Amino acid sequence: MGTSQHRLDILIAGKLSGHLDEAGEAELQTLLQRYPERAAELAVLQQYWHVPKVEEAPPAAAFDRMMAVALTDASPAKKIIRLRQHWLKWGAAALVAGLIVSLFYLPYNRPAQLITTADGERRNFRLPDGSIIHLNGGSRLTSHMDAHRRELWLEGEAYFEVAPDAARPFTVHAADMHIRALGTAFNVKAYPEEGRCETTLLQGAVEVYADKAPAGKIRLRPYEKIAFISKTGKTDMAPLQPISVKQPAAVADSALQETAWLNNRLQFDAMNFEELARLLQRWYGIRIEFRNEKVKQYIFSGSFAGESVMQALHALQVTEDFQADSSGNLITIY
Amino acid sequence: MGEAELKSAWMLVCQDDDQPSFRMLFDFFYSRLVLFAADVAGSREAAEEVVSDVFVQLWKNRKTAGIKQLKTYLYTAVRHRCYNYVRDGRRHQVLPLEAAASAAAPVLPALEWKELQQQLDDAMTQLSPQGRTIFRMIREEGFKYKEVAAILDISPRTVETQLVRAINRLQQVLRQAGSEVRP
Repeated sequence: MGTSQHRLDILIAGKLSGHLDEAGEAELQTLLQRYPERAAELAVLQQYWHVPKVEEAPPAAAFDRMMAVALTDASPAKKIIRLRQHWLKWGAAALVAGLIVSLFYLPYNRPAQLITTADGERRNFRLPDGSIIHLNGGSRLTSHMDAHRRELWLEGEAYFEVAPDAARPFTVHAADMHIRALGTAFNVKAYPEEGRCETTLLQGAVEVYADKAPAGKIRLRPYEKIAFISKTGKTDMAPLQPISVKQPAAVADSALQETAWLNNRLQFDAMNFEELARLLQRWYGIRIEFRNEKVKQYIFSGSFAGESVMQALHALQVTEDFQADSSGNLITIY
Repeated sequence: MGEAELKSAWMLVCQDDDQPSFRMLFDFFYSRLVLFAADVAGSREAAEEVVSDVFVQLWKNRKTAGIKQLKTYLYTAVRHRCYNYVRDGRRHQVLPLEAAASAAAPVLPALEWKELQQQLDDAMTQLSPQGRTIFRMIREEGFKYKEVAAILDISPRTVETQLVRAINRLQQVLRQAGSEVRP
């Protein structure tokens, strides 16, 4: 009784907010027959739900005030140039002073910045210090830079090309792992739902340490990768030996699985379908649901580049037997 | 403004730097975003500042940000900025007391629809800030549970729970109103 009333609450919420599918609708109608007084309430609720909202116009000046700020060009590079022109009039000494001021204050003392990507989206951008970052889908990166340090917090996956600056260490914090870069290029993968955090080094050197053992720093050499497995917040320190991912070869690493995403290639090796589905969701910005437990355990290896998600799934269907239906953003696999 | 109008206005802003379209978008979103931000940032002034800042950034980054879902982007950006605002402590947070409970609600023999509606509105303003935000986003902006979850960085389950709670509150109001009418 209590539970069916609660179920009814959920169904009513679903009905009002437009979340009910056919089965839900049928269940709702059956339950409403048992509780006719709730049917009457629902009718009133529906009427209330659809009362049009009173549109409130913003104060007339609000847009103009905002636009005045938006049109002042305050990108750092232009600021420096403007400062220079200004200082030129005051002679060489002042110019030097002006440059020092602009160099120290403009690019460094910035508040923390947050950059995020949605599933299926990849972004490249340059930090104020000149470092370049490629951010993979479904990720968030917070950066904080000042005159003494460059610190970043990552959830998801990113590839870093760090601008050398010995005076300001470049540190990436991802899950339980901390990576200190020493002028270098490396990839970090730390999606919270995967319970695993990986760093792969391509050039230069990095030092990696875990929350649990700040003293136990591990230095990676190029083409080495280290992975931490964290289970429910605990760091399992088992695989602490770095493993080599490839013999050092050409710098163009289009064949390396860890950084294939940079070339818009999705690569996977002996991965079960459940994990692969997570990858596909992030890659294509879609949702995948399984209706068949057995299918989740299929193992696939391969790589996709320009395929659409359905083309990719058709390619997988060649090796294993499963069905895939898509409706809108949702793909059902069984 | 429908989904298609929003999209084409935003396209004009991106491609042609069209200020009239930008104004349309601003006018359309401003009040609802301020309402949304006020629950997180704690005051109306803070909310207005945050929303203006977000539009400033939106204009500046219109070419580079590659925004596809403008509506979701705006809500997410406003939320992040509110947290930064609160974290940076630019102002001390004074959370307004919830509107005093309408203890002295008029007991009328027959409740007009308008009055009932007012009571329901009042009940919604007395929800927890999160519950209120979620209720508004779903009812007034037509967001789905998952979209709300993504914007607020909570689980879709929490969104559903909060919505069910809000609707339960509405039903209580209806029952009270009903018991006042009938005897």
